[in-house]
Amino acid sequence: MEPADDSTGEEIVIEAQRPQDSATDRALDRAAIEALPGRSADDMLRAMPGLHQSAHGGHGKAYQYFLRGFDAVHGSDIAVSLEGVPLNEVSNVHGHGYLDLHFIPPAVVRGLTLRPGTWRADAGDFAVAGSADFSLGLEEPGGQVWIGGGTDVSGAATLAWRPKKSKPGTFLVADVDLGQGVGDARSWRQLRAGGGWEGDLGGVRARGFLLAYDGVFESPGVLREDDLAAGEVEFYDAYPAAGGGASRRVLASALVSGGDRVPWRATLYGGWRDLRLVQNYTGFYGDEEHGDGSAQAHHAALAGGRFEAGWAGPLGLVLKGGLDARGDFFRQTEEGVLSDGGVWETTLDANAQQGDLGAWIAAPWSISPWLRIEPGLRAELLLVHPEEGDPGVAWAPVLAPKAAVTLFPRGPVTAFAAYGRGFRSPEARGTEPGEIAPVALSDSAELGARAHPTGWLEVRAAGFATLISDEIVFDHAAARFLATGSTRRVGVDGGVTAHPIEPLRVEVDVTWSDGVYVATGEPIPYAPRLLVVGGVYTDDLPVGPLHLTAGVRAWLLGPRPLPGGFSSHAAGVVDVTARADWKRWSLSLDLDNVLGSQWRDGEFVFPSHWDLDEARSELPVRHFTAGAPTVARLAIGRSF
Amino acid sequence: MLLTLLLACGTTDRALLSVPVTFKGATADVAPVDGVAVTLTEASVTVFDVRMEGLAQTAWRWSPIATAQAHPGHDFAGDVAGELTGTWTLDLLGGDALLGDASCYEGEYATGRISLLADPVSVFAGTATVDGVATPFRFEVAPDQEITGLSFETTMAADTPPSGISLSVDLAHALSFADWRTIDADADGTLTTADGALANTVLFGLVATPTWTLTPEPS
Amino acid sequence: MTLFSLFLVGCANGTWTVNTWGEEYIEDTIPAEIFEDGCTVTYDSFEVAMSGVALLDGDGTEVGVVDGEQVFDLTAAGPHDVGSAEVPATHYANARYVIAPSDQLGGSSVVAAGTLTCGADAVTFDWAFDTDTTYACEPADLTIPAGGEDSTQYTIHGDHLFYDGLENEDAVVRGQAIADADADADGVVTLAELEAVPVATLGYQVGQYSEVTNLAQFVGFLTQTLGHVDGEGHCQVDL
Repeated sequence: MEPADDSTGEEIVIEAQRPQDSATDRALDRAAIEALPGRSADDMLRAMPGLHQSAHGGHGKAYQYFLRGFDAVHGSDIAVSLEGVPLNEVSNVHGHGYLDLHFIPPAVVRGLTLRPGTWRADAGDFAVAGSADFSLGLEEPGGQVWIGGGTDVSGAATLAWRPKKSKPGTFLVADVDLGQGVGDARSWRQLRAGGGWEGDLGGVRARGFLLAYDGVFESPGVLREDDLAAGEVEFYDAYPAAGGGASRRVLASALVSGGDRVPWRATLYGGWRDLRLVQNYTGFYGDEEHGDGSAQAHHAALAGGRFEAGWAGPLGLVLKGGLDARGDFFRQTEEGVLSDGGVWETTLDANAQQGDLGAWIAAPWSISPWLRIEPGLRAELLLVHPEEGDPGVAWAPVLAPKAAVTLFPRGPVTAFAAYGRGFRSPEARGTEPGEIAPVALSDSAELGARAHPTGWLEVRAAGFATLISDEIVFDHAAARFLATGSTRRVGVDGGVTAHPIEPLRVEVDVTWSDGVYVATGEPIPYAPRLLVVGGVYTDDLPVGPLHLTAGVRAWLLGPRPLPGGFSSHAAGVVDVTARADWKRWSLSLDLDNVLGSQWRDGEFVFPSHWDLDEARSELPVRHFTAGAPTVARLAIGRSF
Repeated sequence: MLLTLLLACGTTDRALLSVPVTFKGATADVAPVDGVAVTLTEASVTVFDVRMEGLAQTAWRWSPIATAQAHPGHDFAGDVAGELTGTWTLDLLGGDALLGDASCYEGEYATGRISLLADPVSVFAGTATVDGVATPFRFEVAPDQEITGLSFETTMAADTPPSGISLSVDLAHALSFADWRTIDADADGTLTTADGALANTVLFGLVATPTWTLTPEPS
Repeated sequence: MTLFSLFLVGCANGTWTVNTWGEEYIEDTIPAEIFEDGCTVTYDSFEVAMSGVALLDGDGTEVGVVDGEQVFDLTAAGPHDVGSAEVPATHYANARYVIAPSDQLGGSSVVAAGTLTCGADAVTFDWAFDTDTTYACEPADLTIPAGGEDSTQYTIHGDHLFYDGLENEDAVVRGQAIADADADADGVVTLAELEAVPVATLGYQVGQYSEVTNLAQFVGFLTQTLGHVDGEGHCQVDL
């Protein structure tokens, strides 16, 4: 696996085209991304070892992420960035750290770096279980247009263009993706447009991008298992109270970099977003008169900057450091809505601001050819102005040490040890002006190894552990922070990547994790315990006059603990993608869920009441969201 | 095969059992207090929803066991683990009555609750012999509340499910709070809830927790 | 150095301070608008014996304790200092205190004296209770900063002695039944006189607490509901 080719040349020292920090980091280039089945930027994240996602049946809401024993909800424990621009939305009304990746046009994702764990000092807020960074660009100059449709009554069209003699970061892209979906209340319409530029400006390298997105979607919500068993609903149905939403987003960034002896990079970014979500998970259980429907709205603006620099000293010593500053300005509301959409109560109406100032330093040092260490330290000042009309600010300082040790970085077997403190900023509506704000802190460690017994085989394994002394969760119902006790998450990640014949690649990854509340021994609910992922991929395989890029990916997820002593079903899915290129023409076929398994994406246990003609039951029962059904999508492309 | 392994590995789940709930008929002759013998000719109550609760804890958050919040109306019972929904106007003297099959999860139980409704009103009528003097009575009361904290300590398992759950009423206790020596204030020849404090005391006894018992019948 | 220590969130200590307060209902009066039957209450003294003050982490482990027993007369203007403790700097959601019999209060845990006025009737009372109550409370927004302090208030609600139900959410505050309990019409309602009043006759509700049969037991039970935290915050009680 080649590390992503960082096109900002001098940053080699900072980003380091060098052996990875840990046994489980991975970097995907465009070829690897194209061989992955999937249609969206979220689907690309699935290549992170041990990561499982729940889409909950929609094409518009942020996915729910699970990694290394963490239920990261909609992004609260995974820091994702785009060209270094943080994407997690602080204090988003639906979930702190909300990761809406639907705005990223898949056609211009040039690379993806995936880092389970939190060993690097440049990883900041939300990097508790892991982090990821997307890079944008088009590998080949010229234009390409794609048009296609799918058996889920969907259509998609993409236009992407990179001028000749321009750098990969210079591009224009527009795409539309819409469809009905298989089953009830699954329609979506996504529009994306954007552009990037990369070049030289008076001796410094510069690049920038602007992306805009407009999405509208339905969301089928949950179904009761007993209704399915009784034949009252079918697997891909939705109750009448099913919701949906709309999301609009604009994000822009400008980056300049330069320096020979002291390479540096400065980024400025800004954006705006508008989100509205309507949902009802319990029908009329809480309120038989009005129903339990709620509408959430979040309007936010974001501005920030990053500065990083590196200095290569004597004896192989390198110092890297950086400054981060970020400001979020948002207004959020939450309302009770009737089944016809009418608003009958307002439960939240807040106008707040949140700031984040970070500074970090790291000293990667190759002490000898066989020993490399990278101690690091990150200091953060988190600020929240939670109440309009009260000038008081809640604040919290954080100090996060990091350390990574690599043995035999260029040997046939490389060993890694790493430690990092991760943190997550507080949600604004739980803070009090003038008071110190609660920060979730975690301590993680990993021991692993990579080996290359032969030139075409890589074997890797790592054991990881995360300890949290007092797990702070935000109870949305009570609008307050709870300290739920100390937790321990441990696990093992093992994998094999083989290239038996070029360009064929076979990969298998197995991740086992176990998370418990230390005081009670109760398992941490929802987090996956066993995930097995396997795939066979080929990139640009000549077959007669054609070139074939294809991938078959299968995953198996073991049962997960649910609250109350329940357990989820195991699930397994096989996805296939194949693209044949002939001269300027391409034909691509995607088969999602080839085996047609009716798998449960999300599973929950709680009481609900959907039919007012029936008695209101208080018995907690299983509810589920249906996983993606079998869909075939065909697209034709032409480059020009 | 791997899928089967995964399905078996680490799976814990709680089966849902079907358990018949029977109301046990009461006897017409009761002795609520010393010196008072009551013979009921009519006794009816409307019962709504029977529920059983597990231990008072949540699966993933520390909290004290079996507590109540220090404010009226914030009792902290465990999660509902068994339930029979329905409305039954019971002739308390009419013998046993099958109410239906409750859905009950495997696991440990601690408490149960039922609700009493006022539509139709609850009626207790008959003759009370107080110090040798027979006095007819007819009480009509309108209970509208949940009766919580009924002891229901048992463990249900799928391989040894209970044969049933019985709901019974202690009419002697229900009528023990009434002052049977109350004067027939309106001189209509019958003791009714219009006389003295009988409206409060008969209702108090009817909704008192010890008046009602939920009992799991062994398998 | 102070700035450096400020950054060691989770690795350094701060100070948890505790106070207690009876609010206006104890310091001043419980006005007629609060009573369903238009009564009013003015306390002359309202003493509680407080002990077992502790801060607990998410595992339920005590991390900070204020030792000893203290008696507070909450009719004196408050809030009253209870004490402080050094605790690890982090967020807390669990604080505890006990109101239990103390030698400093003559073997009682709660002693309340005052005047209840219902219309033209005014009766005085002087009641001593020996209930032993542990309150496990959820303090509001308690985050102890490294090198700094944050506080918790144990708030005592004096109107709770006059509720007409022990368990029902629609319980209201009433006084007439207590005023009517003055059997010897001497203008003083004693616990013995309350003991002679069966709860069943009043239309009051005891819920599942069927061991409560008379008005003295009823008011005594309600002494276990006096404790709150940070104003209106709720506390769980072992019963």
